[in-house]
Amino acid sequence: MNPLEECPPSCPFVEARSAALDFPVGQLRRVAAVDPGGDVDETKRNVLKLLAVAGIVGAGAGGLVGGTLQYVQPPVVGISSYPMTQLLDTDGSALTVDKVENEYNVATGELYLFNYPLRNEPNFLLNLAPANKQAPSATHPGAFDVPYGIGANKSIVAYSAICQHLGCPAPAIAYYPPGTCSQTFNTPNMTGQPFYIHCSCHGSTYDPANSANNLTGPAVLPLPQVLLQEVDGNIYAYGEIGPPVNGHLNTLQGDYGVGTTSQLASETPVLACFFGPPS
Amino acid sequence: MALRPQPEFTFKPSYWTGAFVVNAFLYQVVSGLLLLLYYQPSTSSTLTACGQPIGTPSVAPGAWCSTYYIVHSVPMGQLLLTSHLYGAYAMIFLMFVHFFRGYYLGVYKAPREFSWMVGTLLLITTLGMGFTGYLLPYTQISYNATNVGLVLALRLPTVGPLLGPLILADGTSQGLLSRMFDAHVVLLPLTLGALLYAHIALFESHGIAPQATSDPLQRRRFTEKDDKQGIPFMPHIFWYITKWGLLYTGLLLGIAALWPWTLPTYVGNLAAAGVVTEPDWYFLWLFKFLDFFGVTPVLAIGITTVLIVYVLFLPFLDRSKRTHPRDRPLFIWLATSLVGFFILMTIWGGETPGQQIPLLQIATTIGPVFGVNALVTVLFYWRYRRSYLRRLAEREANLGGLLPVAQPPLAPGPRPAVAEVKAVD
Repeated sequence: MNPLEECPPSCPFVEARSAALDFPVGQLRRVAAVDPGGDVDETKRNVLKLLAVAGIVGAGAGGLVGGTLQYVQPPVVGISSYPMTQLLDTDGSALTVDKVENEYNVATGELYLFNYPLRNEPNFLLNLAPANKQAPSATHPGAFDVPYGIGANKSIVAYSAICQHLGCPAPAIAYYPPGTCSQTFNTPNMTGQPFYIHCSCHGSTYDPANSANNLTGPAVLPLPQVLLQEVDGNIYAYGEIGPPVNGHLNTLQGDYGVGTTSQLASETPVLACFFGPPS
Repeated sequence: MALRPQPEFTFKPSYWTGAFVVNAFLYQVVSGLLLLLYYQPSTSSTLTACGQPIGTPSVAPGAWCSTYYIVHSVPMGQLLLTSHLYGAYAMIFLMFVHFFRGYYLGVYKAPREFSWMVGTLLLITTLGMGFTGYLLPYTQISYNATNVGLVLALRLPTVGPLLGPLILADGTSQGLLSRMFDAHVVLLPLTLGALLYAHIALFESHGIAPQATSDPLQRRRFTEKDDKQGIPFMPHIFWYITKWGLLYTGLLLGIAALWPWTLPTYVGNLAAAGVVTEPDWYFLWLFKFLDFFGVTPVLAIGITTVLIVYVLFLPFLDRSKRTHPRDRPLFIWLATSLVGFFILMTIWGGETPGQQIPLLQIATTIGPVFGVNALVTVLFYWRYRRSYLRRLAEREANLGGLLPVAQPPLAPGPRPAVAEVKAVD
């Protein structure tokens, strides 16, 4: 009678020398029951189990993927349509057509900018009428009857102040009055036109008297133009035409709207008489 | 690093507590990466509306504003942020479950001492993740709590002045936030990843820790012969891990959906003047400890360091070969008392944050925890030793001197009647 065989399983001692080398692992049970006579076909139930699990896991995974896809697309910030925005002068008072015709003209060197239609979309306000209120000519450069211009002579216009090339904003892109640079261009408006919108970053040039079309590269698109309207002598912006403002997929999206008023701000231009290749 | 097979008896949750922590960590990484798409670690005010009418400049810091944006404007944002927070809590809780499970079952004994030490470093790093992440929403509560932690760190005797410039950067709040953000998103996750790799590599090389036993000769390392009898990693263990992972994700998202988290107010908001300063729950015990009479920040840090050093070098303090809890009464008493201490201090800290506690109340509240535990442990151990010694004596009589126990041989035959408690295995 071997006393070691009487040692119950809970015995705290090793049972034999060889037993010390074995782990106290139970018999390895088969996971699937051994089928004695093959009387139960488990195929159908296994298929159903698979479908159930696959369905639940699929629904769960679909939920996770769908939720993640929704998460990474935040609501777009923007407005749904162009607002009717009144322009205000630098001191906050209403900007009138008379004021613009009296104080600004083709020779104005300082930039006057307002944001429209979003807060991060600045625009130039320009009056292209010649100084001293005379008709445009070779000795008095300027432009009347500018497309979409307002005022008595349709010389007041506004264009986006973000260059269509790589997005340099004002004051890098600026309006150059006659005489700033020696370069002139032959435009539909006049031969040897000495005033233009020019970007000092890479040399793009636009014609403010003719829908801001390109005069030189490297930009290939014209500047978008803000549509202005005169209501009871006050100036309002009501729309924008042309390509989207640079940096925005859509001019109406990418920041909060500017609201019902937009105030002019003045800036000193950064000037550089370096021009890109002819357009 | 081969993924070795495991014996069948290990397919119980008790052997997978570490995998649960890794599960939680992976979920934190994925949800954190998604949150990173929108979060901005800036303390300056932003121009985007976050709770203010559209068009008015916000006075809230950009970090809070971007978190507010995630919660209120991004689709699924509140669910994701809530699940990230609750996932952090789950990770810390599961980590303590894993730690105490290992402690109680003596897994840290040879040959797993180094694995245990790496695990201790993982514990500290995970708590660091919680600390750094807590500041990121930049609410008044989290800012106050971070300040308390920083003051503690900076008052350390020699290390404090060295740590100061590292954490505080140029001294501005933006500098602090940027460093916390860097630590939370890059430095600490990389550290966790590296330590985790070491921890798992050591696990794979030793195999799983076998069942706790009183057998001092138990073989504690798996060999290739054992692997032949084990369940292979692919596909069984892989599916097993995946099953737990899916369960964890589902539970976490479900709880996050049922109890969504709302953002407290931002740093600098005057309405937050009455906000109580308190840290997240896993630091409440230390927070309360600081309220004890006579406890200075240096003393609190000192005692925490002693605890960490004790845990770190535990494999070298507990040298016996027996892993079963009943054979290690002193260490079990210490662990159970500390669990009671931490739970008690956490609840106490939550109930009375910031209130000073006099010495007598400390003794009468904490003392019983250690005392009652000591009593219970001693009783259990005494009972075990009595039955153990009795069976040892009987075996000694039957085996005739094979084992080195100095006991007078009992006469063979019927066992003497004993009036005491039955032997318990």
